Amino acid sequence: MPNPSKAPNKATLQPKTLLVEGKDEENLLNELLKDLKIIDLQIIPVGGSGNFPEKLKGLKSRSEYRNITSIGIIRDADNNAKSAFDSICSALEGNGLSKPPAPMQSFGDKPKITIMIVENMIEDLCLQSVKDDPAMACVAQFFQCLTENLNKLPKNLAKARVHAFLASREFLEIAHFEYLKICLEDYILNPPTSPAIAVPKVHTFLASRYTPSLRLGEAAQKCGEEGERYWSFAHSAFDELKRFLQMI
Amino acid sequence: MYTSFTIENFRCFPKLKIEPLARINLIAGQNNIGKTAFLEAIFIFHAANPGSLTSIEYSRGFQKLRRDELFWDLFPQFNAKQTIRFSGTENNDEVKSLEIRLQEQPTESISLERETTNSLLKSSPDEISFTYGDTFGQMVMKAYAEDDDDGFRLIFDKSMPNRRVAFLLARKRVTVQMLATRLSTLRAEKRHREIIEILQIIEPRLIDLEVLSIEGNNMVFADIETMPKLIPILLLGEGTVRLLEIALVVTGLQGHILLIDEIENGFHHSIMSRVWEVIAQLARKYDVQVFATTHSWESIQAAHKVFFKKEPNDFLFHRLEKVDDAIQVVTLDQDALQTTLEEGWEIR
Repeated sequence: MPNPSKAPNKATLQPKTLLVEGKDEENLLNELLKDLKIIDLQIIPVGGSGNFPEKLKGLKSRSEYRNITSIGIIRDADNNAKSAFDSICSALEGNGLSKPPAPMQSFGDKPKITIMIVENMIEDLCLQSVKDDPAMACVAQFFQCLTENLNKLPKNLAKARVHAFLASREFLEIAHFEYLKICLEDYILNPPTSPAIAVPKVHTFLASRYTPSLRLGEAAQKCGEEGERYWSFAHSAFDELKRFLQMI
Repeated sequence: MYTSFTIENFRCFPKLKIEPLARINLIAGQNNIGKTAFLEAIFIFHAANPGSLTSIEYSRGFQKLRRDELFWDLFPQFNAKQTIRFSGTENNDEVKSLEIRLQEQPTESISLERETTNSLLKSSPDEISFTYGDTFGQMVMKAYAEDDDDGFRLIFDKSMPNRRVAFLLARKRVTVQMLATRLSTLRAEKRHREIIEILQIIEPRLIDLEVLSIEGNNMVFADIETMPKLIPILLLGEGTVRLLEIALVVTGLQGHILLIDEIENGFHHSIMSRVWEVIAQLARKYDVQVFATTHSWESIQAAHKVFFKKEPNDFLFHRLEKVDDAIQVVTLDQDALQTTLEEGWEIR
């Protein structure tokens, strides 16, 4: 059922477009683009990896589509990099677009297509950039403790980790404890098929920051006590991502 | 119903093919891209009647046609030596075609001693040939221009029978007489209540419609609940008159074509969905294919909302756009339209 309630976006379509899975990736990469001083690339979140075909179709329908010279697509490998890459290629082919032979290899013309498949998840990449932060040792211990003491692994440790960590913070509200209980009960009843450890680790790490309760992408903004980003773009963990953005 | 349509050498279209087509086709594009010209092409093709050429010129606002430039504006680059070609495929795969050629006849030899004014030398009539083709063969219609007080008029002896196409213009309304005649026909067939129910979308106080003769002219009058007298329909808003036009015209087009230029004119955005519902319902009931143009985002949204819900296959959105100096068509199906409208992406 359509809910087309938006008025048309009057912003001009940039010649370079990057399709990402969601808002977190959009926020994170917008900050990285600022860091790289790339201004002619716009990011479009597709609302989930399954939506790439539909969003590509919609993109091609835009009135300024012919101004686009380059399209980049980035998605998580989710434990199977080849399958992730093939699914993107299938979406491209279904929309009459060029298929690069491999990730990180641009192909085609008007538009040029470049794909990046992030090993595991983009959260892993961000965590890698802060692996030397002292809080990460605590995060690791916390999850080790959870694993040892729960009969089944929670499906999505993200929320559990955030709230569990917040439980140790100074200004916690009672409601957080109640929410934590509900989350954990739910997680135990619904065992995971493939736990995405990185997501909850991200939230737990971010819970240790000066500005808490941030999401992945928000943490890339200059929101620290001294205006610092919580992900270290200078870290080599972001090198390949930076190279991909400059290829688009 | 046409499933595809091709234009060659008409106005701004050296060549354009639009495919697929649905029952309701909404066409958008920037100013001067050729939206109205596209409708004119379908009008001329489906009418298959030489008289359609002068209708088109008058609808553009030309009040006096010049025979020395006979329909020059219908040809790309004003080159009247080209052949205008239209072809359409119907949903039974039958292909129909129309070719229009302008043939200049040799000028009479006139002694210069007889030339006393600066007026143009009059020549023999220029001939226009309409060659209509379908699975039954070809029919050639010839027309020629004859001078009259309005410049010239077309004289022709035949046209394709039983071809009905209505062209509702952006700025001009159909004549009052036509509205009255059509409503009278429906009243005689006891089918006028359908029209009243449709108009009640815009004017809920409407009770009835009457055709009255005032000083020899037949006019449509509305019985409005709170008014002491019947009032001429023209005194109601533009939207009411436009909706009346659409409703009356569709009921007379069984199995044929309706063209509407700038469909949003006269309608507040809040009722566009209801207007599209009416068009969808009438088009299906009377088996009419509709081609409409629009500049309006709200109109596109409303149309999508109506058809996506009930009959997604009944509607297609087409955008005319210029690519390397040639006009092309981009057709969006319901899925693409859904995505672009949800994202607020510009598609006009």
